[in-house]
Amino acid sequence: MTLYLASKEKEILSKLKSNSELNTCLKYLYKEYFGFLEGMILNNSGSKEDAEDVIQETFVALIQIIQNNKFKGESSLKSFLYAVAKNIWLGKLKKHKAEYMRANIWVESNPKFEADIQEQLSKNEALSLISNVLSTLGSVCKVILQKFYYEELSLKEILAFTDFENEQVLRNKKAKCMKSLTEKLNQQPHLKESLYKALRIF
Amino acid sequence: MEEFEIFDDYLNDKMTFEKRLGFEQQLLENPALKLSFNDYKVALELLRFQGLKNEVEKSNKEYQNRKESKFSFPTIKIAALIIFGLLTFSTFWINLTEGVDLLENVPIAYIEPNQRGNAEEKQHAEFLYLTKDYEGLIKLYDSSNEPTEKLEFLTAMAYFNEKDYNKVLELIEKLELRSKTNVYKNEIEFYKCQSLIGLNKYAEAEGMIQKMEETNPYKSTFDWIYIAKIKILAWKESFF
Repeated sequence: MTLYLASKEKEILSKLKSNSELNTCLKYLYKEYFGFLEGMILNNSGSKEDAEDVIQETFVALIQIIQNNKFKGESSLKSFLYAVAKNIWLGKLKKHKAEYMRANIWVESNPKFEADIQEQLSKNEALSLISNVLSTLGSVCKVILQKFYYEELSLKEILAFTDFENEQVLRNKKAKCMKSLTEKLNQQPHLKESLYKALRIF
Repeated sequence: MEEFEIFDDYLNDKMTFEKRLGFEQQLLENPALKLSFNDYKVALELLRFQGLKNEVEKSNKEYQNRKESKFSFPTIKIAALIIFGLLTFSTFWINLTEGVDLLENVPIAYIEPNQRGNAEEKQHAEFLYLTKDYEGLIKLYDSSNEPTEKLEFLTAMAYFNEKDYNKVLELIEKLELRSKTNVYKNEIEFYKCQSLIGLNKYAEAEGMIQKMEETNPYKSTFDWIYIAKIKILAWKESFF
């Protein structure tokens, strides 16, 4: 059983790294680790809703860390997830000092990967703060940009999801959408600046 | 070629070595291009972050929905368990139900009253019945040329106590012919039914109970368990 889990975990890690079958990987992560992580949050003055939020953020950060080659497998996936969730939850608890003091009792830092986790979480926090600009984009732009830059579909493939006549028209629209997005980012100079810092873009 | 497409090619490593060097040189010399390139990288990070967040959110919803449907599963399990338990119990109950139970657990029994029958015969027959001398009572009946209704009934009761149900039915048949003056009508119906049970004729016995008039006090003593048992035995009788 342990052997099976170990090989399954290896397979999942490799798929996450290559960004393939993400949905299957997430299903596995939820099935195997949701209960464990939820228990941790509930045992540390969190509610079920808190647990759900923290676990979602944990999985986002885990995938990013793996894809950025920062997870070297020095610890088990379970320990790593625990460390990520712990950091996220402590970050949230800091806003409520009394609970943070209490929660501090159970945490145990693992310097091996703590820095990488913290770096990713800072990036995500900065991205979250500015993510509202995406909601101000038109729905067509959102679809085109998400499909092109996140799902990595070609313009030819995206054409099927839109009413554009041909690829060239779609290409022009995509450029306009991207321009609009960068303009919107520039309208929030403070948030953009902290995002630059978090992403280490100079 | 659009500026963004050049950025894409650079970031996706789709440029030739020379073009790449040229682009990097431009970034160093042109601060506006550098700014535009950095904004583009930030936008990309944001789009990828949001895309991943949406995907995790979707998986979370799916997982929570699955969990909810799993929560309802134990309810179905419990219900199935209860139904299975009831079926098992019923099967055992049906198998364990026997006619003997019905005869042993008769809810009411005849008690000889003082006010009925011919005085002389009553004294003797009643004495024999009350002292449970059923054989003596049967002998008295056999030796009697013209047995009274009272003697006939007490003899039927004696046969019933002796578990000779055929004889009981025989005498009850005779008693039924005395329908005009029959003071034992209620008892006759009840013991006919009991004798049929004794002879394992449950369907007939059930029919008898149903035919009994509501005014017959014996009828009200049959509770639902008793009726259910007779029904089960009648049902079993039809199979075996």
